[in-house]
Amino acid sequence: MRARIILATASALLLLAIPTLAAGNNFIITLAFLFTIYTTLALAWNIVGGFAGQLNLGHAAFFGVGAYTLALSTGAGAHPYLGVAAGGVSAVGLALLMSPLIRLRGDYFAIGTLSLAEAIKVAVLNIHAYGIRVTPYEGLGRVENYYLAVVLLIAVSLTTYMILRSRLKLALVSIRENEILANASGVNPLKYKILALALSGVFTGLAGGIYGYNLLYVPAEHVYSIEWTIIPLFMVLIGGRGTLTGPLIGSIIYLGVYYLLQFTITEISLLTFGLVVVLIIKFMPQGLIETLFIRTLGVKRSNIL
Amino acid sequence: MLLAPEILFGQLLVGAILLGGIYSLVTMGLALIFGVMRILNIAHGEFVIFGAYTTYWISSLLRLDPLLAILLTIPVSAILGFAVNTFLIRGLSKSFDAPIVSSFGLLLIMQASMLIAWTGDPRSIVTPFTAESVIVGPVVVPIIRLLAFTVSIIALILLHIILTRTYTGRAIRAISQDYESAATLGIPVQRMQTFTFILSTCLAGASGGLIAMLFSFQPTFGPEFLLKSFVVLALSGVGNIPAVIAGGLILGIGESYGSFFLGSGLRNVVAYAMLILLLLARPTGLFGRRRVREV
Repeated sequence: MRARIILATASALLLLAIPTLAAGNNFIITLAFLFTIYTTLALAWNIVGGFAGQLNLGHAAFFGVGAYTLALSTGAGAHPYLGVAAGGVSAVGLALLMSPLIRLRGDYFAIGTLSLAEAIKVAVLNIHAYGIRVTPYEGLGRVENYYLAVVLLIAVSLTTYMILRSRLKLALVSIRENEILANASGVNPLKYKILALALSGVFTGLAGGIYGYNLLYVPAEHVYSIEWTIIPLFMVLIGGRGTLTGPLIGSIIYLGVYYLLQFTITEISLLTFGLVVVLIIKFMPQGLIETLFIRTLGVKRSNIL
Repeated sequence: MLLAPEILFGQLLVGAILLGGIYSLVTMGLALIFGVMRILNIAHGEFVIFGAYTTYWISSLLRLDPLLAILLTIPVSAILGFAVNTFLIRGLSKSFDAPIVSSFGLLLIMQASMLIAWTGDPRSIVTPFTAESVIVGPVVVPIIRLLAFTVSIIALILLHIILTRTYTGRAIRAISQDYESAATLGIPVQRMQTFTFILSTCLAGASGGLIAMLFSFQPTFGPEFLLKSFVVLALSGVGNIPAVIAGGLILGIGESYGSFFLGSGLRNVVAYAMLILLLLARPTGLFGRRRVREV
């Protein structure tokens, strides 16, 4: 237990120390920033897709709405932090709007959420074909924004940890394993799934706002792009769904492999990357945590967060 | 003038129906895999684009008529489908998420290789009758679209006959209804699944060839066709050919009228909005049968 706290604190401190260690090296700070944002998204997706087992393919909509709200509200003269917060709120609004879809089961939920996200993207593109410019705020540069992203990552990690230790996890996992039985045992699936969607939405919306401020220019094509759904989904499935460490490890592996390939074999990086993803899933369909730690190394399941 | 009935119910409707036929054919491959293997094949659009390129190259390198080139595209697609199924898909069907991720990896692989091999330049196939059209009363019907529609419908009817009249077809439908009972009745499930996957890539290849004659295409267009076939799939439910045709026509009609009244920018929004509303009203698809809930 103590070792875990030390490890977690050390990683958090390391993340916070990166700008100082990098000494203004923009490249490293940007990489660290992307890592932080993607990991936040993976952990947020994990709440719905991992714990509750609902394959949400519309996650990008939360992210896009967050980024867009930030762009619109800073354009109207609001403080960026207010804009980020507004992004989180509007993502929760979107989650509630999405909640009728949550009645759908399995594949149809996936198709429904994917279409909703695409519909929102096309509709927004129809209004703002070229995106919105964000005016930078005095004293709030890349580095300060990075700190904000790290704080968000810590918050979502703590939330995941709390979920893991709460009745909420039991309710969500029971829905994932068998919704009808869960319903019969007194768990209201609809209520818990909407709660999970709203939680997932708020973190994603906040991350979208922070990301949008970092870009200083928010093109709808990019922030509503399906990659904001698919990449977090990959990270969770590579690591192991329904855990805290799974998405974290998955995110490190994914981004590590991705950038390694980008910098070494640029021309065929996407091709190789696709192959790597396929092979990972082929040999570890349950994720790294399940295959490597539990089956091979024999770590007890109850010891894994 | 613009809202004259012969435009509203003539030209627009004919265009919509001709488009809808192709959508049905594109969707049929996806629906087959989804029904029989329980795999949502994210790379389906890539197989369509692959079919488009294969038809393009066969017809331009061998100087063949594009329609004949489509016939040659089908075996090429079958080989690709067999290879993909053998190396990537087989053995994954146990869980629901793994095939989705795996097929997304496949999407990346196929898109990247097509971009490397054939660059991102848009291409299109020009046929001897590309600019020709017949005039039926007040309606102008482009021959090429009529042809593509007819080929699609013929292919779907053939498929319907295979699925209802042959042993293989019945076995495929049995598996899509109840996997375990089919296995206990002695149906070779794995072999049938391989066959279904190949059949599906053949359908995707053929529809790609037809699409290549209608629109210009490039390697990154796959996901658009994927999303369209999702819409049709959700409208029609799984594995019922008349329903898939109806779903394709509904999508074609919805898109055409939607873009006519709301502007072409919102064309896809209409499709997605239709889909979401329908999913909410009929969670198993417009023509899907209500399944017994399992505990």
